[in-house]
Amino acid sequence: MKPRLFSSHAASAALSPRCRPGPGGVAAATACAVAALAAVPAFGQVAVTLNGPPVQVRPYVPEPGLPNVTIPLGTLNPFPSDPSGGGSPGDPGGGGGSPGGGGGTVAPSDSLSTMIIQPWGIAAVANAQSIGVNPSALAATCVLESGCQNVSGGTYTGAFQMGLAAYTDGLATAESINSSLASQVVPGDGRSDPTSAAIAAAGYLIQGARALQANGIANPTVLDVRSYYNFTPSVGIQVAVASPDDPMSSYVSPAMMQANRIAPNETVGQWRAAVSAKIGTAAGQTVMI
Amino acid sequence: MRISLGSLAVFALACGLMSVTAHAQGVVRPVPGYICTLLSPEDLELTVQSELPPVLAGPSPTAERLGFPSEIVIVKWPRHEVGGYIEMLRANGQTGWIEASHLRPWHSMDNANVKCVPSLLSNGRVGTHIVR
Repeated sequence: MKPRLFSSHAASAALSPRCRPGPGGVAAATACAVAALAAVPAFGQVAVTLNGPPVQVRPYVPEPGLPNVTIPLGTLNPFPSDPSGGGSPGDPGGGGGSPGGGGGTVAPSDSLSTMIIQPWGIAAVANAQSIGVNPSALAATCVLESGCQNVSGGTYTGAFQMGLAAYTDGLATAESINSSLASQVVPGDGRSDPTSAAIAAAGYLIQGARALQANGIANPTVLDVRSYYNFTPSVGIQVAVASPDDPMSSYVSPAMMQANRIAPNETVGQWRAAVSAKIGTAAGQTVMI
Repeated sequence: MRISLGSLAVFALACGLMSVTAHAQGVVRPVPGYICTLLSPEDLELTVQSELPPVLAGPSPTAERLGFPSEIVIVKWPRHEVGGYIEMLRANGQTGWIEASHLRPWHSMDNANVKCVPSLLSNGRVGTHIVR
């Protein structure tokens, strides 16, 4: 059971207006470079023939108090120029298990904008991508769980509000796919370290996606997997495959209903619509890329 | 704890006799010969998938692991139990086996007067339908 701590988050945070490259910041860095060049007065221009390969922009991410993080050229860009490639918004009232999404591509989302501006957001994006998780799916999770704030709590804590068992299991899944992630994970209980927690949460989302695939949802969306993360694996799978007309109270215990502020007569479809409203375009995107 | 045969019989009878009057979207028809059961309360609280009782290819702890159960486990009726394992139906129509001690008679979580009907869904999978 993971109480929904924040009932509503306006995921409207904008990216920093500074010339700070995003996680796939080649385009942004190039734009900054072009803008800077345009501001230089043109004195005695002389044509020069290129000799050798063109100069490559190597973007880096400055964060106060932290060493610069250089983003290798060729890193997947979570902000592609064609947003239509990333899937459509979910069908809030539609049946569970609808494929939705755009077939595993990464697209921008309000949720991603919220996560990316966190000090740990860029690392979370890169780590999620390295294990095949859509960064928007990870971002939607932290938006729903904590507003992407590293809140402390009891049983469930951190930006991703994970219990210790789920954290440990999620980490194991993530590191089984990309063992180098272990170097970024703090020893012991790292749930309050957002970078560690983001890796674990991404691993947990993979578990959810795989479980839903085994139950007939071929390409689970963020909305499909939400119930797995929000409740427990067995309950979450059931809600994901349930008819939208079914009452949530048929599947979710009264304690979970109350902790997650689900109305007694709320249907599965209404619950899905409420989740979609909070995470916007991320809802219909696929979890796996 | 094992499922009470009497309870199962009541549920089976209810499932078999009831007429499904309000088909929810995606429900094609009931699947005869099966009933809904519920994972134990302890299993429902587990947050780690790997701690759930596995669904096995045969009635043996050494049988191939097929996956993990969801909250509602659709089991064959009349009950088919071998060595503490009960035959169940997976979402893809495949037969599986799960330890009977993890199952309880199905009831709505809010104890409402509704029925759970194993059903063939429009996507070709086997699922459940909650009938008021």
